[in-house]
Amino acid sequence: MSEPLAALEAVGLGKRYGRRWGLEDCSLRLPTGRVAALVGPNGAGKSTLLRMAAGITRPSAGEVRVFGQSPQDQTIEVLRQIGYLDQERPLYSSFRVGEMLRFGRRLNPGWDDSVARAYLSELGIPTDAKVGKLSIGQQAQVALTMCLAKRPALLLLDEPVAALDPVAREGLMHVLLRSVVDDNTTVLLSSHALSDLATVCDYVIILSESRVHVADDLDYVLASHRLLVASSQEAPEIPPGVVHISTTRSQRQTDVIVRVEQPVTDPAWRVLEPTLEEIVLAYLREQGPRTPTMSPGAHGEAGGTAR
Amino acid sequence: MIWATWRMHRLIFLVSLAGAAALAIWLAVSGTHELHAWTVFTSHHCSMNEPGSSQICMNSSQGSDWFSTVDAALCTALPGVLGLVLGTPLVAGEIQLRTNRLAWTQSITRTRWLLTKIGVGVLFTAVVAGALTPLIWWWTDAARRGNHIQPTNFDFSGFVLVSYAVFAFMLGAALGALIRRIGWAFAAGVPLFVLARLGVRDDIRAGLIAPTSATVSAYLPVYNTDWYLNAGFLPLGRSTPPPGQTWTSNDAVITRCQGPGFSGAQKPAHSATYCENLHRLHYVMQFQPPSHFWALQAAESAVFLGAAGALLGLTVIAVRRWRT
Amino acid sequence: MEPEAPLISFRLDPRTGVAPYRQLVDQVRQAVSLGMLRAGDRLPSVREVVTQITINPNTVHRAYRDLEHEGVVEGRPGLGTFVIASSPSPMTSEERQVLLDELRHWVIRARHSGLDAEGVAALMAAAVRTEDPAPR
Repeated sequence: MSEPLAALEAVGLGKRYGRRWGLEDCSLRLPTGRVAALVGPNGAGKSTLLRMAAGITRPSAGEVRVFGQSPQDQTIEVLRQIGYLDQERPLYSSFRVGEMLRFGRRLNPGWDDSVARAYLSELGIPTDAKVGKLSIGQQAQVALTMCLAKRPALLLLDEPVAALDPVAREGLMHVLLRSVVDDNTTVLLSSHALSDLATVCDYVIILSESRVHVADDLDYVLASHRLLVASSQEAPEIPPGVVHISTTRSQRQTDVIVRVEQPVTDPAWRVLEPTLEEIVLAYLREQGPRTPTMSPGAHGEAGGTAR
Repeated sequence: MIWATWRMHRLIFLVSLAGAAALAIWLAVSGTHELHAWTVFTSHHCSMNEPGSSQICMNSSQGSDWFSTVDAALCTALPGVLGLVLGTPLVAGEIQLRTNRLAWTQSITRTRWLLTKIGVGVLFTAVVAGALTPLIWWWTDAARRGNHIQPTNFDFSGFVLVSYAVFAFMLGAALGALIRRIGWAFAAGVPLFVLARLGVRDDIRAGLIAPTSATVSAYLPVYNTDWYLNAGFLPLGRSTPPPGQTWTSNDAVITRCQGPGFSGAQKPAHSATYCENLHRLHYVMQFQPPSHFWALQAAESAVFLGAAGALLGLTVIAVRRWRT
Repeated sequence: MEPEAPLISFRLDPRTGVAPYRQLVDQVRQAVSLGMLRAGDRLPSVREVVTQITINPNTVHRAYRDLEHEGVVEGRPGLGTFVIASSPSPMTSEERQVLLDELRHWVIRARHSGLDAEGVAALMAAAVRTEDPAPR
């Protein structure tokens, strides 16, 4: 079966800093046109993953491909297709906003100046303002404009809404979504506030302790996880054939989030469908290696897309 | 990218230009002063050997010495300072501010980004250094009586200045790419540049072009405009010491031959010529004449430009193979 | 490209536990049954919807597809998605006012019987569920 080219594909991707692995054994396959949420606590490796996908950081292990090409090749072809927003929103602070646009125009053949100016005027950022004098939120928006005006096929955004007030946040999401509608842009954005992303993303990547735990379509993630509830006094066994993710125990009630391949029929447990937030928290809560109750081969299919 | 390089580093370009202009004005003033002092010196028939004969002679001689030393220092330092100041922020500046993450995700390859920046920087450096060259040449004529081939004057005479500046620029850029901090790169660049310049000046320059040798009667004065390298008693037929000997190996022979009483005002027992003939030696002087000046300039420029080229390669590799 | 303002605006309630695409479907059907949308009206384009609410475009596509399967709307390539089934008996505002008054009386009775607001809502939801003729 010939599959269409994935927007972003990683196989065993890893980055080592000295003796510590900032990101380890990361595999995922993000199809085109998705809006993907990359969630995880600070220091989990989100920025490292984005930087490797953007071609700035060189992987220590494994490989990453954007539309089939390695961003490390630094060809113009692959550079044109990637729009990257760094966490630190680097800009030339002595430039005026208009000069930043000129910079983008001169270095990007695909630059759409009208998009940039329209977005900036919508936000009320004047083009003759000095970048260094703008507020942090405005600088973030200018940095984002630089990515959007490039009209890339893949947007890699590191915490794009972090410095923005709610109105600006909504405005940004609307701009991104319009781009997805108009150009079939693929968006991968990282955040540690999931509530912003729950209605917007259709692909989820959960990163914790430098490892990828989940990287799949949202529908599949929701369908393949269950919340099992039982009385703490009875404390029934976790049914076989599920992968235990996390357990929360209170005095009367025990909640267990599991990953399933087939429906759970054990009558001792009440089976509910967890929300995305509950699933994410379950993965992030657990520290250290988890012991799967499934056979070893089935666990750790973080890609889940080997079809 | 050319516009972007200029706009990004506009401030440092303009500051360097201002500094160069200030130096130019200063040299023009002090060079004129030197010329004036020399005119006074000669018109009062002051001799270089007896400057204390009158107050005017003393003033005009000492005044020019002070200016001369300071200005020579400035001219010697110029290429290194200019090059390092312009070169170190080129790559290190962007890395320190993380703007390389912005620049390297535009639709331009890293190699083109780097080569454009370096191209603009080298061109600017070369133009500024080149523009100052004729002025400094004029100053050397005024303050140093045109003695360009002497090592201390050679350092800032002629187009070799441009190659020093370009080398310093590339050194700054390479160190910036490797060390990734402007301050540290500059701090490392200064001693490295000084070492390179001294190394070439003291050990390599003399041999770049084959020096001239001439047999002369001992104790004749050396022409002021030659760059005197070595002199001594050598076996007849040789213009360099035989293996195992130095230029001064045969000094003792001649001294012994001339007999006691040589030191001081007493007449020696035998003349030097007699001793030379007796021991089949002749007095050879090895020097670089002014006629070799431009060839030496070209050769030394080639050395520094070659080194700059190697540093360019190093910088390109460092940027392309960037790990973090 | 789309000169007139969209006819209806959508609203997503994250707390109801109902999937976003289902909420869109319900809101369209409600609008049709209330007469706010009539046959021939064009639904907001996907682009317009993502500008109104922060929702994934695929969710909108899926909601419109479901509505098409249910026979409520029809997609015309290049033109948009159009309502094809009007409410069988569109209500007049007088009819709506009568129903509203009756409902108010019922709610007052229920509250006097001791039900709190949530109990009232639960009772009403149960009644709607048993009486709902549309397939789920």
